[in-house]
Amino acid sequence: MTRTLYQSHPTAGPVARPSVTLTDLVKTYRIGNSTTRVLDGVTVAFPRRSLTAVMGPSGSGKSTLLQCAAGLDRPTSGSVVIEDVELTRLDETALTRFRRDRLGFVFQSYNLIPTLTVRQNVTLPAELAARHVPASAVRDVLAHLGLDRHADARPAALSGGQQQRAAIARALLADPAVIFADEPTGALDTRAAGQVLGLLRHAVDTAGRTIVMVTHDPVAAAVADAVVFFADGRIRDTLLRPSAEAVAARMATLAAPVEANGGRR
Amino acid sequence: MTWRLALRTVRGRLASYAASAGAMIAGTALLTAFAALAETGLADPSGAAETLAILAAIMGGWTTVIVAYGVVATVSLVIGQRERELALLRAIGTTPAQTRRMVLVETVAVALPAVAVGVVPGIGLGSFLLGRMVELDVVAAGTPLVTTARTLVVGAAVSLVSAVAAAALAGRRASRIPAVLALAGAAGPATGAAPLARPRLVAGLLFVLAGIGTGLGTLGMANGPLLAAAAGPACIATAIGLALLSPAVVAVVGRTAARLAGGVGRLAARNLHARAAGAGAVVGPMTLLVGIAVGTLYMQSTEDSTLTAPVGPDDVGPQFAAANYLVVAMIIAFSTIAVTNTLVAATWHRRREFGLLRLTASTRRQVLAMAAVESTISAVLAIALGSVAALTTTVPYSLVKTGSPVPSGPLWMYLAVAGGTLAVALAATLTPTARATRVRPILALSTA
Repeated sequence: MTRTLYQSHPTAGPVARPSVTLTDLVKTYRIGNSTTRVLDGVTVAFPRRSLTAVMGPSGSGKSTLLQCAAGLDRPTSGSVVIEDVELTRLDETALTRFRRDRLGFVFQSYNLIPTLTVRQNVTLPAELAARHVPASAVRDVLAHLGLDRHADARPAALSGGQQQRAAIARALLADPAVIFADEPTGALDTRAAGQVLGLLRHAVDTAGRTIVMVTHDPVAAAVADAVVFFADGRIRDTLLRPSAEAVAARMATLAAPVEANGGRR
Repeated sequence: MTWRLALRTVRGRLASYAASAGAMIAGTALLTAFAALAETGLADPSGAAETLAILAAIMGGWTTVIVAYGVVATVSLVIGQRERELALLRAIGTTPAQTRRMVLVETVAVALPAVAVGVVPGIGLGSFLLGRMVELDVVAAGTPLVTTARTLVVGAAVSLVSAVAAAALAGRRASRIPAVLALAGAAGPATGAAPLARPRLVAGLLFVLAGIGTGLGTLGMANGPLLAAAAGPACIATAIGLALLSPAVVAVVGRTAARLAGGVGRLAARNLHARAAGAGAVVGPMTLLVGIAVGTLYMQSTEDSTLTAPVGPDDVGPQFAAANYLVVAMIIAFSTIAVTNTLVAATWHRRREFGLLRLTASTRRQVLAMAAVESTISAVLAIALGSVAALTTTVPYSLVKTGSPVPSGPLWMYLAVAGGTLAVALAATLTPTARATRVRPILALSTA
C-alpha cells in the first residue's frame, strides 16, 4: 500500500476540506554514489480541526515527512498544499512569511531562544511580522498555559515541561492554521507530557486548530483523532481514534514485515 | 523590530561578543594611532616627517585588512556557535533578509562602543609611537602629535566600515542556515558537510593567486623605496587566502593524525576532522599572524643586510628600519590579541562537550591533554601555512635586493614567531579549558 488517504472522521465537521494535503511526496538524499529514498511517494491529507499523530520506527522518514509538510525542508518532487497555498512553489522569503503567519512549531527540545524571556519568546513571531499583539492577549495565553508567574524568566530557569508549554504559547499566539509538533513530549516526564498533550487537544477542540504531531509514544498517539503509521518512506496504515494499546500493538508488528522484506524495493 | 531582538541577543551573549569587541577595540586603537602619525607627518612644515606619513599610510592600509579579517573571524565564530538558535528563528518566521539585518545590527551594536573605547588608547599609542620615532631620529625632537577631528574620524570610520563589511559577510552565512536544523537531534554540524563552502574556496584561491601575483610582480620592479610597499601585501594576501582555505587542510590533517595517534590524541584529531569548518576560525587568524610577522620581519632584515656601508649622520636607513620594526611589532601585537580572543571564545563554547566527556569516559587531565593536542596541531598547521605565505613576500624581495632567494636575517626571529604562536595557542586554549572543567561535569551539561 503506497498511498493512504483519510479524509473524514468523526470530529471533522460537515464537509471536511483537508487543511494539509501532501501529494506523491518524494525526498531523496544523495550520499556518495548511492541515493536514499527517504520519502517514497507519500500521499496523505490531514483534515481541518483534527489532531493527527504520525508514528513509525526510527529512520522511517516520519521526521522528514513533517519537515517537508511544514515548509522547513523542500521535497525532491511532489506537492505540499496548506490552506490552498502550494508551498513547493514559494521562494525562501515567501515560505518564511507563510510559516510565520500560518504555521506554529513545537519541537522536542531547544524550543526557545535562550537570551529572551518567556514573554519575549512568545511574542517573537509577531514582532518579526511587525504585527501588534495586545498585552492582554499575551497575558491570556500565558495564564491559560499556567506560565503567568514565569513570564519574565529566561528558559534556563524553567523545567522542561514549562519550556514546552512556553513553546506552545508561542505557537498559539500566532493564531496559526496548522501546528506541527515533532516529538513534543519526547523530553518530558509523564505528568508534564500529559499537560502538553491536553493543551494540544484543547487547541483542536476549542480553537479549531489542525495539528500534525510526530511521536514515538503510544500514549501521546492515543489522544489523536487518527494515527498514521509510517515505515520505510511510505504510509502503511491508519487507525482512527485508537487506544494506546492498539497503537502499541500496531507499532510492534510494523517493524517486522519491513525487516523481512529486506528494506524497500 | 529586528533591532530589538538583536540588542537583546547581544546583551544575552556579552561573553561571546567579547571576542569581536576585543578585536574592534585593538584595531581601532591601532588605526587611530596610524592616522595620528600620518596627520603629524603631513602637518610638519619642513616636510622632513613625510616618511612618517608614508609609513603610517602603508601600515594603516595593511592594518585595515587585518582588522577586517579579525572581525569577520570573530563574528563568524559567534554565528557558527548560534547555528541551532538561528535555525529556530528561521523556522518560526525570521526571513533571510531579517536574519542578515539582525546580524548586522548585532555587530554594529558591539562595534559602536568598541570603536569609541578604542579611539582613546589609540591617541596614547600614537604619542608613544611618535616618542619612539623621535628617539630613533626619524622625526625631529619636539614634533607634536597632531590629532584633529579627521584623525579620530578616519580611525573610527575605517574600523566601523570593516566591522560592517564583516557583519554583511557573516549575515549572509547566517541567513543560509537551513530552518530544518532546528529539528536536528544533536547540536553541531551534520556529519559529512563539506569543510569548505564553494564561495570560501573561490575567495581563498583568489587571495592566494593575488598574493603570488603580487610577489611575482615585485620581481620586475626596480630596487627602491616602493619595493617594500609592493612586496609587503603579497604575504598578507596569501596568508588571508590560506587562512580561508585552512578548514580543508585541517580536515585532511585531522583524518591522517587520527590514524596515527592513540587514545587522547586520536580523540583530538577526530575533533579537528569533524569540526574542520569551525577549526578554520582558530587556524585562520594564527596563519595570518605568522604570515605577516615572518614576511614583514624578514623583509626588513633583508633590507638591513644591504646597509653594510658605514652609517653616516645623514643616512636615514637604520632609523627607518627601527621604526618599521616598531610598527610591525604593533601589528603582531594586534594579531595576537585577535588570536587570543578567538581561541578563548571557541574553547569556552565547548564547556558542555568537556562536561559530557568527563561524565562518560575522560578524566579532567585527559580533557586538558586533548585540548592541548588539538591546539598544538592547529598551531603547527598555522605556522606551516603562515610560513608558506611569508615566502611570497620574502623570496621576491630578497631576489631583487640581494640576488638570492633566501632572505637574510637571524633564525631566532622565525623561531620566536613560531614559538610565540604555539605558546599563545596553548595558553589561550588551556586556560579556558581548565576553568571550564573546574566545575562538576554535571553542571557543565546544563549550560546553554
